[in-house]
Amino acid sequence: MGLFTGRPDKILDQLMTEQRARVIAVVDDDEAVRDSLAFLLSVSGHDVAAYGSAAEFLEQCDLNGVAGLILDHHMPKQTGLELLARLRQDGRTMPVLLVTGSPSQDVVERAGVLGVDQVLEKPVSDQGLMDFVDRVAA
Amino acid sequence: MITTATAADRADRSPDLNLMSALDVACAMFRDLDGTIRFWSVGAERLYGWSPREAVGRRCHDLLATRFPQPLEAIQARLLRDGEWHGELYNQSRDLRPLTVASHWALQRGADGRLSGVLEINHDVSFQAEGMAAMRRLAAIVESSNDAIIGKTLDGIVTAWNRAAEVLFGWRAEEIIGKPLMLLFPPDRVAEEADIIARIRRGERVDRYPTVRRRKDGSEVPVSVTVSPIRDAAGNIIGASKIVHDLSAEEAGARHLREAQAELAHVQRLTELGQLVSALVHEVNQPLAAIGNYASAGRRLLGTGQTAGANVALQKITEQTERAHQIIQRLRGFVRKGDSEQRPELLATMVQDAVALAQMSLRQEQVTIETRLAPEVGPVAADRVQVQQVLFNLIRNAVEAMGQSDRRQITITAATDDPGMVEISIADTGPGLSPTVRANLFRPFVTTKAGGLGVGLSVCRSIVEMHGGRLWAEDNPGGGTVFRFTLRQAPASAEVA
Repeated sequence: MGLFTGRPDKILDQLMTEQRARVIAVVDDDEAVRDSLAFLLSVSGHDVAAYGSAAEFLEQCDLNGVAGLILDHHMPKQTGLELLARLRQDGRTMPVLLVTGSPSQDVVERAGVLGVDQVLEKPVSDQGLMDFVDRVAA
Repeated sequence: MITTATAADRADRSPDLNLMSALDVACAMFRDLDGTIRFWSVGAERLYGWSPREAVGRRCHDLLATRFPQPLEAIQARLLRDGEWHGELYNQSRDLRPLTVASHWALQRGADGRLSGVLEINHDVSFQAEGMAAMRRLAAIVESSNDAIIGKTLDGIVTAWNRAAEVLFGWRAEEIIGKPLMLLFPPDRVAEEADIIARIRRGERVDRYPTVRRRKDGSEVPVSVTVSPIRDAAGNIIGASKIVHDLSAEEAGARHLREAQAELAHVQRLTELGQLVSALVHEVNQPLAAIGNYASAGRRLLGTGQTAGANVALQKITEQTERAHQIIQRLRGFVRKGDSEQRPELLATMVQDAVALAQMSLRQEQVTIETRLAPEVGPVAADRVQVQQVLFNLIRNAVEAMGQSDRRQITITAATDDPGMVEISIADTGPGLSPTVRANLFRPFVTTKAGGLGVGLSVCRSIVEMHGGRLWAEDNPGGGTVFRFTLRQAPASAEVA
């Protein structure tokens, strides 16, 4: 199958998305974690957009520009996996790194079903983080 | 020898006729050999309600609906052999009332020496019979009671002793009736008997009085005693009736309940801690994650010579470290010093209570426990519930440590070596502590127990330290481990509640 697949009216979007997708989106309800991630990613030369909740992310983020998503699972109103389910349902296929304080069997399984690239335990190692980011924002 | 007489004969004042008048007073009847009534006295009419005209000529046993205590054949055989028979019979009056009579039969011979019939003289004992039956019913009730029922005189001599008393106390009725009730009293309860008798003499009852009594074999049993005065027909108090209820089962039940409650409190405390731990883990992870990110960023910045940026990263790290510190402080706040109320308490009582609480596992694991508290050890300043928790915890740990041991003995001692302090030790005969276990003994979240949280000993240490003491472990010279902790002596003037 070719690189550009799917409905004809989406192919143009996909073309434009492929060219524009450079932003790493970070969704985490803890301010310090958000800020430090943003700091680290920009120091490493990436474009970062950070959001404090799933709602804020859906409201404000230009999803077409997102190269990769670093998603915290344990958030108060809507969990990371709930947000991801919603994104997948809407046809969003961006790569996702799921970060969680306690990776249970359930979370890992569900993450697999929703097409998560990796599940990493908090606090995430430098290596794990940069491997993902370098791969998706190439 | 009596012969049947007519009314005309009665007018004659011969000795025979006087006898006839006497017979009239009694309930008497004469029947021939086939049971037909030939003579029916005035007394018989009075008792049964049949007139002579109605009775004479009728079959005696049919008329009176007689029921015999033995088969009639046996009675008749006796009659033939001895010439007489007496016993109780059940009859029915003309108006169908049941009657019990004491009956005397005499075999009669005619002038020719041949058997002529039977003279029957009856005495109404219905009232007495009913009384006897009622007494038997009451006796059955007393005998079937599960509680011991004991009768005694006002001098304390046993007069009645039912089957339950035999079972409870071990004395058979014939062994103890006539002996003093004091046999049942342990030495320290002797004064109770005088007190009870005094109350009984005044006509008072003693209701469900909890105390201890002694069995024949010397063992003691917890009981609840109810004593009531016994009066004679004139209303004078002539003795007392005691009902003694065995409380062993209730006490065992209460003990189990208290132990279960202690377990529950302990588990609840651990669960609370468990929840605290989870919350702590979650919260501390956040600043740690931020620190990690800033550290990575800092290294990259240094790698490209951007020291200003690296400084920013380091500053952020410091902030996050402070945040983590605050979180730990909040946890400490949950175990406040003000939570414990320290009062003068008797060590012996706290040890006894903790041992009682652990009875279930001690018995289950067949562990013997010996307590040696030096006599000079006075009251200590302690929060009773908390110190009990420490003792309970250490005892339970000791029991678990000896799970695979042949010899299972816990020794609890207390002494005042250090001035102003009391040192309590709990020694077991288990395998002892390996160096690794010893190093991590009081560290929270390190445990050798599957499913254990590992907070038990660190909580104990916190409690002891809040009491101004220390908790530590040593090797037991005879094999096993000794846990020791110290508490402050209560001030000399202190009163123990």
